[in-house]
Amino acid sequence: MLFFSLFKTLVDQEVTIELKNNLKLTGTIKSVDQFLNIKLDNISTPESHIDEDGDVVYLNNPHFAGLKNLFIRGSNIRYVHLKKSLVDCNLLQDAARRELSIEKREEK
Amino acid sequence: MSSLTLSNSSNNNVNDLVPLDLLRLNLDTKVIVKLRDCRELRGVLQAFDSHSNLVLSDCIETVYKLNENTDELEVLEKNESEMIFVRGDNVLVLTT
Amino acid sequence: MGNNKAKKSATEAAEVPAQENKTIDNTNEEEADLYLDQYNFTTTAALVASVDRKVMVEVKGGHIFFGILRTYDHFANLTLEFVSERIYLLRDDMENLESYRPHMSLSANESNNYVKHYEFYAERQVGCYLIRGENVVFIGEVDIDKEDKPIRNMIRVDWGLANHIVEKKTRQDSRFMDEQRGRYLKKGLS
Repeated sequence: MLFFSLFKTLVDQEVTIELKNNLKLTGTIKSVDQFLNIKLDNISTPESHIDEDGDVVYLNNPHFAGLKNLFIRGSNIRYVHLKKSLVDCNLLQDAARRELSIEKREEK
Repeated sequence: MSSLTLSNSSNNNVNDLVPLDLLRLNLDTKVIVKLRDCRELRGVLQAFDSHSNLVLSDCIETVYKLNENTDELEVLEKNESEMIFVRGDNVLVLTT
Repeated sequence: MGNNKAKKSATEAAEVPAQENKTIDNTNEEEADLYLDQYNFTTTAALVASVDRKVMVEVKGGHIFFGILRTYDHFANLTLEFVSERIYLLRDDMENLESYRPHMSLSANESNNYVKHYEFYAERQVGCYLIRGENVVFIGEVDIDKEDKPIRNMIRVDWGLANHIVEKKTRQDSRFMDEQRGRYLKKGLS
């Protein structure tokens, strides 16, 4: 729940997601769910560029052309790179401690 | 992390500790995380959960590869990230 | 029989938000906001807007499918109708396949520095598919006005030929990957 909450606070923010198949995607988080599936808007990849009509061209992934959004299944994610300024470290640490103690209490 | 540090924690009874307590005790300190696919992260642990999903700050990722000829482990690349979320299913080992 | 079941859950999925909206009318605004807030962050909420629309699905192994999304669940199991499968090929694949050397991608930076200029594609219609969620990498909602822009500049080739080329490359790749994996395992690396 901790990271689910974290990603909820990052909705409408830009992140870079690195997948296990070594694909790197940058986009705006539109939605996240309990499995940490992430839905992105305005997707770009390191090799993508904008053509004369203002459309994004994805050379390595032509099937990304004109996608309105991209739903990424959480299980394929390796990393999500975040901006430091958007994350409250103290809050995160406290939340991690609290979540562990709740889980331990529930297990007893 | 020595057993001494563990038993000196707020939980005096070692039986009350679970493996994830080691992560709790290492919050806000520098850790080394070994991952699948020949990767290693060094950064400050900011958060974790029961799946060992992690958040590290000021993190350096090292990707290793085996040299084609000598079979020696060598560094393929190093990448920096100011804040990184790591999905738990990649994590192999965490040390300090 | 399976089809009936799929249809049923499709209508159910489509009805859920409608029903919930009705109940919201009876509560005060604050509760409604809270409720919507929770509903927004579910697998259902993320995918419901794409139902009955054309989507692109990439699965593990790199197969690419286009089709109309009919049903889904929280595993991201999907049923697609009017599915077409697509393959992209490089000029080297078409003209110089003998010189193909498999390569194991080790990092995102490495594979992204290597820009591919696809010049050929092939497509085939395959009917109705149920895709197991475990194998889904991502699902994208397609803008039908823009989706064919990249393939307009590509040459369409026969599916049989394209598939033959891809199979050949895949065979080489998997043999190479097995070798490499063996080397890494010997060193205790995964």
